[in-house]
Amino acid sequence: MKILVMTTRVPFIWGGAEELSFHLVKRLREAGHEAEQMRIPFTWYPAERLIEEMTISRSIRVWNADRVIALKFPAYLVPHDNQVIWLLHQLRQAYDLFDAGQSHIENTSRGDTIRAAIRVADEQAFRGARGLYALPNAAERMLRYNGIAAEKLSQPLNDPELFTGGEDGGYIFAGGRIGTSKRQALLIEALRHAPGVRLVMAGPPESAEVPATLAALADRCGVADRVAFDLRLLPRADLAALVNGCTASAYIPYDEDSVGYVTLEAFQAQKPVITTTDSGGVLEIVRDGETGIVAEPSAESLGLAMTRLAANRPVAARIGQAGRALLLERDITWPKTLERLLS
Amino acid sequence: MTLRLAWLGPWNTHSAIATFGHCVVTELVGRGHDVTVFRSEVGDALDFPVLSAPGAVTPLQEADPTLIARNFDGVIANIGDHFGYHGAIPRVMERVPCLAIFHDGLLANLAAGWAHHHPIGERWLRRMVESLYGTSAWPESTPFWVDTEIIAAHRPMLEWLAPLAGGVITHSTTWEPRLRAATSGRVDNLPLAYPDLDVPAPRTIGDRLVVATIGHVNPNKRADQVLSAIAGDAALRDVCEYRLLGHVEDGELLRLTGLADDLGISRPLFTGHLSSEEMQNMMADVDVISCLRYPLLESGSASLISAMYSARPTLVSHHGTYADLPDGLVLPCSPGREAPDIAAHLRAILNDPAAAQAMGRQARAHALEVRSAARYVDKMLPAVAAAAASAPAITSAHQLGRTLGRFGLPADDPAALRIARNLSDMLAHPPRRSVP
Repeated sequence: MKILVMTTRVPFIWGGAEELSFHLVKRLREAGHEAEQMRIPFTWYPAERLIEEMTISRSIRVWNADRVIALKFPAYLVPHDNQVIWLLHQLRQAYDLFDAGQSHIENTSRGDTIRAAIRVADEQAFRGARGLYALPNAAERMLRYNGIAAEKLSQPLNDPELFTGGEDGGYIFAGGRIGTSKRQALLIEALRHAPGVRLVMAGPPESAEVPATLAALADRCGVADRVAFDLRLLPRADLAALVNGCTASAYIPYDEDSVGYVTLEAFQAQKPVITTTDSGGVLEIVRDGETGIVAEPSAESLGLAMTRLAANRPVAARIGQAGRALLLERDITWPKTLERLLS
Repeated sequence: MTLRLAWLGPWNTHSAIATFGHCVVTELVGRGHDVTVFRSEVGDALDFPVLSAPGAVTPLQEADPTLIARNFDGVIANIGDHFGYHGAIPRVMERVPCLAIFHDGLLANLAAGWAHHHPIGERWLRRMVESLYGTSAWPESTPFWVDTEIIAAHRPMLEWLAPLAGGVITHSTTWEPRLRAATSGRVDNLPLAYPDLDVPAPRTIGDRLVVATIGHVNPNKRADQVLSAIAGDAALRDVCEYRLLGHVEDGELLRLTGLADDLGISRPLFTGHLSSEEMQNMMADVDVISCLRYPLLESGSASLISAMYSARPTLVSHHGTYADLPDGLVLPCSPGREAPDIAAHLRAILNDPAAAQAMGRQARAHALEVRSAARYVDKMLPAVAAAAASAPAITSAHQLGRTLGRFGLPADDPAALRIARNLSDMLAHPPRRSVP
């Protein structure tokens, strides 16, 4: 089949969604299909422009593709007779983030109009899709806000063969996209409450200001000597080496839709994961004391968690092995994922 | 330059709009253009006898709008209120910005017929009325069909199709302001063309008058006013005979015969539908033609032009296309209360038949000069070109409008206005077409 994977493109932003889209195309080709990725430029601000962004997607016509697999808003608005949606992200600013007061859409009649238009467009797309799948948290949110049931489909690990585990190098690793949404700054603050603990932070920064901001924070907290930064899009082998050599991985996003690649990579490498009670989808597999540590989203609680694992390497190793076992038990693989998406 | 033109409209012998179309298409072909006629009839009307054509004739309801848009330099759609004659057109207009000739301004019959065949039926009609005219235009729990005057005033349905057009031709000033407001394309007001059907010349008027109303008999043609005028004047009662030359519904026949009986005058003569030959024979004895209309539903009037070609003094309701005529060519009557003026005009004709017949001859001369197909086509071709040039912008605007409408946004949403401005900027200066 000729399969087009449709997602969005925000210039110079690369994170889990981009990884998934890239690997989906790769896996489709390995399975013998002709597959390409189409990334539609998307800007979510200002909120007033969201109508134009939706109109652009709705106006696109896709030729010469047997199937479209759409991943994100507003890419899933592009019409196609044989479209499958694997929902990674709706525009949460129109839904739960709006309710939480964390949206850039204003709480005005105009904001209501914009949100209503987004809801209408989403529901038309979801109901019109040939198949509807979603990451587990996204599926629950879709049911709650749109009243539409999607089959839960978690993302598989992209390159498990790289995450072999290894010698504990005596540091906590913080990976993924580095910036405000993933709250790595809180880990730097937490080091004040974790004496002797080292932190290695590596991954693409959300914006150009992030490296300087985090470095300055480390200075202010007096922990600069215990933090190493490598803020760029690392080659996969380099990233894997950092994961394989850590004591534990720390991943503390706010209300994430998915379990997160940082979590999956750590579990594959038999490393425990430190997360927080409000990290959302991560909590699907990070269970306190079993496969990781679930702390309160505060510097003190996170500092304690880091100290607990850094001071008890055997405990950390045991928890890490349990994480790997859970991953194997879930048995979420690319072949099974493709089977669902192409059914 | 030879144009490939698609002519969308009725093409049967019963339709005056078809007769108009025939003379215009003949003129276009005579100038070397390639015209394909797409018959817009639906249902039983497709079985009516078909006019001859200088080129291909094909049913519009079987045509692919995409191919029409692609294969022709210009698309001309003839809009009328009769669903049986025009029912295939709305589907095409939704996809192809045509040059739309609005023969009628009241399109309630067409819209109701369209709704009857729509997947959601009358709900479509109610939604369309509410979106065009507001919820008060058709109160809940009331029938769509009420007095024609009320429908014309509150929900004429002209604005359903006018915005879809790439350009518009109207034949009078009556509906022109509404068409200009509803259409983003160019609007032209042209005198309606119609062929001279070689009606026998009028006989010399003596001391008796035969007054005739021609065509489909309905209350809009004010036959009751003619009867009242005759009955109300002692000088007219014994010398005027009234004939209705055309199809009449049973209800209207009973109404008018009952009225004549109540007024104590001779019943009018009803002929029913007449063939062309039968009409010619009947017209030989007609001295005065009644072309009254109230309320005004049409844009132009083929009946008026035929009456003028016949060189007979013609009674008209003085509004719309009838009032657009130069003075002294027809006999004006006050719209809505024509009877007193009718009586006055008939008396004047009996008193001075020569003057009346001279007026008839002047009307014929005017019609021959102004109402010819040649003159119509001279003015129509630039409108065809303008509509074709605006088609890309209008098609894009409609597609974007549908997209925004599906998001639940109204046409005046700030986002819609921004998009419309961008589109207008992009398409304000279309590239010139190279002439082969």
